[in-house]
Amino acid sequence: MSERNEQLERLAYEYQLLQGQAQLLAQNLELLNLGRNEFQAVKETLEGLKNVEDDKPEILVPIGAGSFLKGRVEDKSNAIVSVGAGYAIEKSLDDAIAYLGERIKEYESAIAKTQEALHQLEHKLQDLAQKAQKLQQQQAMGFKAPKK
Amino acid sequence: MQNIPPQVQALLGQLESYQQQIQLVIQQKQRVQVELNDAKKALEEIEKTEEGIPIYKTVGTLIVKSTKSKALEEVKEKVETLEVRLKALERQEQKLNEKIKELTRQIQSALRGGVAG
Repeated sequence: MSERNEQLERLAYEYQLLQGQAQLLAQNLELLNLGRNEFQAVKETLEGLKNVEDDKPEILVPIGAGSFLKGRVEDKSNAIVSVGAGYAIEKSLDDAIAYLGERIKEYESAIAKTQEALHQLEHKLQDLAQKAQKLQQQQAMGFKAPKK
Repeated sequence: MQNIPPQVQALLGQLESYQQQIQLVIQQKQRVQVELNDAKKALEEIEKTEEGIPIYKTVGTLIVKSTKSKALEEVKEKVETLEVRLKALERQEQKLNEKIKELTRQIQSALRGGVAG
């Protein structure tokens, strides 16, 4: 009997450990999604800007809280894109869009990997829960039918 | 199991401390690895840039214009520094791992000896 209890305890411990890992992965997944969406939004902005006919279009510069200042895009054909390590490089709109597209692809492959790992963990958690249930049932039956 | 000899308890305490240390080292290593990947990617992008194309560097809250050669020099140095740090952390991890293995072996043999005696 105590052996079964020990097994149950071990299963519960393993369950907690895996649950912690799953939580971490879920958090990562959320961050990755946020990152991907940000890149996607910038890419769409640049794609939209390309279709604006005006050479130096008047724009509204967001200053927060839904408020804006009037401005003008000085250079509609180049964007300055952050490349990491604190550096940003001027790129033509097409190059910038391609660069952002690459980053988005990287995000997407990381998201797919994380989702896959999360699914595997969820399967393992289900397996563990089933095992624990079986053990508990066996234990209950053991109590009902004492051996002579 | 309840009556763990004091020497073994001391060894277990040591083991726990080593395990905490190795966890810290692993976390640091992961952080350095992320930073290194970031710097390497930046280096790759800067190398691809043609001479004369504006490059900017973040300085606190400001973004300041820089040049390709300056940026290359700085990022290369950053990559080198991070690689050295990563190697140092890897060595530390390896050493701690060896210590943990050795301690585990000692604890196991002490416990086995206790059971036999």
